[in-house]
Amino acid sequence: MSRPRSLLETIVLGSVIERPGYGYDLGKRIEARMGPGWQFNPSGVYASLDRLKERDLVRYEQRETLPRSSPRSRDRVVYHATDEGVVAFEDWLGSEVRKEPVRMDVLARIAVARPEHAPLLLEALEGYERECLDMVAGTTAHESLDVRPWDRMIAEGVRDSVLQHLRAELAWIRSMRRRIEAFGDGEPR
Amino acid sequence: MPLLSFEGVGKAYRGAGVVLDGFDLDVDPGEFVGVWGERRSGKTTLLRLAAGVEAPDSGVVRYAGRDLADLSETGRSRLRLGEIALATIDAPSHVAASAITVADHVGLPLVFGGRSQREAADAAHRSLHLVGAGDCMSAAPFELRPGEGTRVALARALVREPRLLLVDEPAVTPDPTEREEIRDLLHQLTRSLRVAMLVASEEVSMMVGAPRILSIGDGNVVSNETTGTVISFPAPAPTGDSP
Repeated sequence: MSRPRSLLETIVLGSVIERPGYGYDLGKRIEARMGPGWQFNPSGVYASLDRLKERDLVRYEQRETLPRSSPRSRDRVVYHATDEGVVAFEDWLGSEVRKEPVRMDVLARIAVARPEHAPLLLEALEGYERECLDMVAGTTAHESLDVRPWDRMIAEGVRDSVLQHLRAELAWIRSMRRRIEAFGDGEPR
Repeated sequence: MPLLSFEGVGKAYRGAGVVLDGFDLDVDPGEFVGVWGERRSGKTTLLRLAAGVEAPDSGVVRYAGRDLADLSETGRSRLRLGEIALATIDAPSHVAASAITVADHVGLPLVFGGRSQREAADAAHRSLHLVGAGDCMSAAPFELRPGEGTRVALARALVREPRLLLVDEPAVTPDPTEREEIRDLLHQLTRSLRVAMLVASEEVSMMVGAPRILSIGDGNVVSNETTGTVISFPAPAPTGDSP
């Protein structure tokens, strides 16, 4: 059986199953649903749709959106899921959840740094803290969420996951900084 | 000109070490700034310095261009009864135990400021409706649930029609939905009243949607706005004997 080959492809497929749509619409929906923690780039949707199409997990229809007489007339390609796409998606939904590595980038730097690198590590941690704060600031607020009860419940759950993660990251950054600074204050190197 | 500015502000406490060190911040009229930090990280100190309740050990805190230290104690009090409102959400026990109604409690700052009882009552009603606490008007303060208490504290701060509202820990209610409603209310009030706000909380979810967030603790302040005036300083070793 054909399967999506990346998480993004799977999410794009899930969105097409939820409601057929064109690339831009799908990108906006996914962006709103996943929140800033996902760091999603909507342009990746088009390549994912091409790959899903190659494996017959989605199909498309040309749909004219504006009259031919209009200078802005253009055809939009609306994607629909195939039966095989629905089966592949449901297979993924029920499959075992993989444990993702956590903050690998920052942990890797800490793992290989020496005491003389402490200022650079503090700088990297500060940059990471800014990034986390940015994600908090950019998390979709209550009032702009989907109004349908299921969508709202899902969106709140996703947002809660992102915020819990960010809360833990921010607390960890602070404690890591304290450790590095305390080390610089007197422990032998 | 910024409405509020901190210029190289330092503050330390005996036993707690450095809370702020060389801290710079500009807050423009109508701007919303979230202040996030763990318990005892210095959030309340930051708000109390902004309100002129405390004086910095070093540096200058200005409101509308004036150094708060140049004002007399009476001058700073007058400012707090008018343009600067410090909303501390944990209601003091004397209010909780008193027999006055919520409407009286909300109108009290205006009575202290010399307005008539009638004017104060009218303004209190408007302010309570504004924050969605119109139903609490005749209740006694000790009857309020935590979420209602937060709204009433905001009404009491807003009754003075401040230009700068300092909100200390609005996340006292344990109900996450109610906390989000209060956070959304704060954003809505900033937009509709064009009041500048500094909102301090240890709850990360209260910072959602804030255009600028300061993360504060151990003398360090980090802002998500890299172009802002807030910069981070490495925390010096705690002095332990600062005033």
